[in-house]
Amino acid sequence: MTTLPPPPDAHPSEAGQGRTPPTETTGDPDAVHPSGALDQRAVSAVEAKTPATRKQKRSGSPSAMADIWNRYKRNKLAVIGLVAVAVILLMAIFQPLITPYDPFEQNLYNTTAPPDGDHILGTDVLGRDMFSALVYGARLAMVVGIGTMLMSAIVGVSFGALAGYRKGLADTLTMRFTDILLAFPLLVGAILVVRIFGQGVLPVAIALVVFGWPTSARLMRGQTLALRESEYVEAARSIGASDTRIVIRHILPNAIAPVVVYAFTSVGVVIVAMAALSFLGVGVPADVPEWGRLISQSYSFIRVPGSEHLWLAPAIAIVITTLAFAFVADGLRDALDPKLRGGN
Amino acid sequence: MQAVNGLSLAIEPGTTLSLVGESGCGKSTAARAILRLHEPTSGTVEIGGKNVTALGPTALRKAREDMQIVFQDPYASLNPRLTIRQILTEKYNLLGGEVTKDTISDLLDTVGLSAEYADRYPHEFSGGQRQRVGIARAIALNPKFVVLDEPVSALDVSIQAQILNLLERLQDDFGLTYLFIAHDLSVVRHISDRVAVMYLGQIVEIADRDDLFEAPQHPYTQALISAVPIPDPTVERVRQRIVLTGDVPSPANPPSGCRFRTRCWKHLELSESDKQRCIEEPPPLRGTGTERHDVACHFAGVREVLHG
Amino acid sequence: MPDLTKSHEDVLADTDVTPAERVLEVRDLRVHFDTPAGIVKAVDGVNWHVDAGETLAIVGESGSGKSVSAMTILGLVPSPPATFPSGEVRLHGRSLLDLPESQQRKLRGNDIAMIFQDPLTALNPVFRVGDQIAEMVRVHQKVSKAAANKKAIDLLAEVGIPNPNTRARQYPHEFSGGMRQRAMIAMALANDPKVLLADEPTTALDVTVQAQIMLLLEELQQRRNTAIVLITHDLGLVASHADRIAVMYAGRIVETGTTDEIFAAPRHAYTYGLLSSLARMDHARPAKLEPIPGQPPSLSRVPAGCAFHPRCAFATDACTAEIPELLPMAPGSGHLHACIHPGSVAEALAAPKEVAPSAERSATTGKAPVVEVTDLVKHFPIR
Repeated sequence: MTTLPPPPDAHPSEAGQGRTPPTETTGDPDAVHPSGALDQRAVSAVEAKTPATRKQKRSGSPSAMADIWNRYKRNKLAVIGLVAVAVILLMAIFQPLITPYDPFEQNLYNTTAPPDGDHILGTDVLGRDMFSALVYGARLAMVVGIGTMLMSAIVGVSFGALAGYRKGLADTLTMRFTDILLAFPLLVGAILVVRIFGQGVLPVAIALVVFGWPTSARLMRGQTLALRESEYVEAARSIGASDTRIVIRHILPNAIAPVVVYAFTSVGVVIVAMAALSFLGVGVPADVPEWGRLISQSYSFIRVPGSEHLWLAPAIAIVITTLAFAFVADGLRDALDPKLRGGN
Repeated sequence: MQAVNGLSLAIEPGTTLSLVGESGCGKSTAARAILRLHEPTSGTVEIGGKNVTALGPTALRKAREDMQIVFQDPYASLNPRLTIRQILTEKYNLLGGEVTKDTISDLLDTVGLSAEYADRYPHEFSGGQRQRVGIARAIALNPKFVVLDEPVSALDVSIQAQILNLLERLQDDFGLTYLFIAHDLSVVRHISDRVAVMYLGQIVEIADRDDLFEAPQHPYTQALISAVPIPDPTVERVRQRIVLTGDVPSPANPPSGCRFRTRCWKHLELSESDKQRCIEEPPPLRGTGTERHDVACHFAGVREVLHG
Repeated sequence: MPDLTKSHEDVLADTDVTPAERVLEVRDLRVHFDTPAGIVKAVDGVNWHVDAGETLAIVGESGSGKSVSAMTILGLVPSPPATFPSGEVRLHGRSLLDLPESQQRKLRGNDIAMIFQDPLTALNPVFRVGDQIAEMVRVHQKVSKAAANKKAIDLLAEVGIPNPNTRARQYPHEFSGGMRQRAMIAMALANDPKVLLADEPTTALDVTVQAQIMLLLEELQQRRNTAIVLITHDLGLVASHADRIAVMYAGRIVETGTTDEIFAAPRHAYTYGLLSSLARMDHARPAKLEPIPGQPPSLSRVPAGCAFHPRCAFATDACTAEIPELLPMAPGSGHLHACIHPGSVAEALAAPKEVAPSAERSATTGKAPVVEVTDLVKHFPIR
């Protein structure tokens, strides 16, 4: 029936990591500091007594980044996710060094072999070493996943900020455009794009960006609409900041958190989408060992005992990667959020 | 919706004019319109002899050096992602001041903050300290004119006094001119030279400070002053309180004629023909017998409400 | 000189009121919160009481713990994270916290009611106002729906809402701010409580509306002989409406007495500091404000000894040694304070005050105005 007040907070100036809160100062009554614009005189000692109980710890504050990292660390799953992402990334980067076999090398005399000494994960339907194929698939997933995520974010944030800040015509046009794009089911739209531009990794990536940026744009627009009414934005205008400067310096850093969180989630979405497209035979060419392709190619062997590795391995790879990015996104949301509230 | 409906005032250099009123009176909107943070619908504003309402966007940005504002909410007026140093330096970068290695620390010193904390973030400071930062931002580069929008309303009583003293000292030291927006009449009496009372978008009374408090002439001013409790039980016991009926009407639909007539205690005591005048004729703001004292009421008259 | 041998119990026994009239009494209440930053001692050994028909004001700034003690009485403080290391709450002499939870709830809505700063927290926006008040009645009394509805309308009329029949069928958002506050008061009065706890009831209201609401509370108090506990930071409100005052700082009561005593002769340095930092509307030549330096302490790191000593102009080493006890000014006096330097406070009180800079300025400088506004108009389109 009634809401409770929050429990009495620790002193607001201790919202940081246990640092000593700033205190008022005694000025030096005799000091005169010429500066470009003002003559200075000291503050009266009565108003500015230093409380005796505060002990000075180290001076200077850890950066905002350190604060975010500290908060991120608290979420165990998020840390695990981050480690997993790092591992996958490293595997992707160093793929030529890791893979014992050329992922493209087909050996039609040794197809669908179960795991053994030569091939730790067996071979696939085209005789490729499964492990090498998976690692190459990781490379593809990272390139397309992260690349798409970055492009979508850049395009989305730009349009979203424009729509949210300018409002009026820019807003209406952008929003109707995103409406149209969002109305398309992702896969149908992607198939269309690929039909137009032909098969290949690049068309798939383009398709995913085209249908991916609207969500980031919406998120950014919502945040911008809210933040443009903030008092510190008004303060920036009062000291002569131009609109561009306000958006970039004041609104963007405060608005970006949900966009970043969504971006990381979207990597998983992109990877699954790409896999789905490959499964449908659209996009990545048949001879490229992409995770989705691997699964679709193993389709006819699903009921055959002893060939679980054919679809299980790539499926697990997709799940682990998607989960890893999801955990990171989760951790980021918690780490970035308190800052959003302004430490009140 | 008519938030501000024809407001005229003048502030002499180095003095403080307070704009008081209750919610919906338009004082905050008026202050922002004067600074062109909201674009005025019409009217002119001259600051330092320059017509700022006629300036184009680039010229306006440059003119901001002389038109500054301190906000009410110390928690919302500082960008949480910037350090204090960044917040203050930005103003110098934008308006062409020079930033030496001492500039920021000197500025912080002036408002009573230790220079060591320039590289901290706003959330590490208390409300009073953040407000000092807001004040530092406003007075850097010595503006001709500073609007203070309820600068102490969000602070604890013991901190309010610190900030008020600071503002007074800064005004003395640097000859600042203040437009002080407030609803707390005790603070207004303390810090103002002249006071203007607003109701539903218009000034209903404007006078020198002591004159307004000791001899108010508009029924709303009288009711307002009488409604404010004074922290002294012996005084409170003998005071007479004028209790108005109803709530403040919405600015979207103001009453005809005199906007205050629906709550006015004097209106109830008038004859029928006099009442008609209030209903049909909006009273203009015009001079009274006292110098520098204007009232917008057909039936203005002094009534003592402070001491009982 | 305060008699240091008497305990607080003896002091209470000395005062004139017989316990039966003492409607609500709080003894040695402690409320601590377990937070990551440490133990927050929101309320740290607090005693107060209120009698029928009188108004007690609990005064303090943010972080003083004034709201928490009232919320504890109504069971509104969740535990965990709150713990109650000690404390007794007596309603008409009966101990409240000892009773089983169900009995406590019965007593609470019935005999003690609370009104808050924001009426929108007490009023559910999706139910009609009349229904909410009627529900309040039916929870505690065995009456029919029709009777409860009638009571609701009567209550709305009693709190001065015109057209109560129509208003009872409206939703909270259709009420103005002042009216919502009245509706909340009506809801609080539904079961004719003996004590009304008012937590900053007028802080969010315009001053002319505040005057209406305080007048209403006064009338209701006279009519029903209700005890009112007014929790506020506004000393003007206290001066005009309270009979007695308890001043809180950092979770403890530092001074208590009648309103006249506290305003005319404060003896605790914090009380004196508060009063000196107030601007006065009725002073033609205002005194310079003497603010209290620094800021209130964090309740998780309350300074040793007297919590106020780091900010106190009269503090000595003795002030850090131990927490000063709340003791009477003179034997049998109801004016208690917890300062070991009341003499210094009295001296400072009597000393002549410096005049504020604005008092010496004349309103006109004779120079040309630096700001001139002519016929400013600002309209907003209503969408």
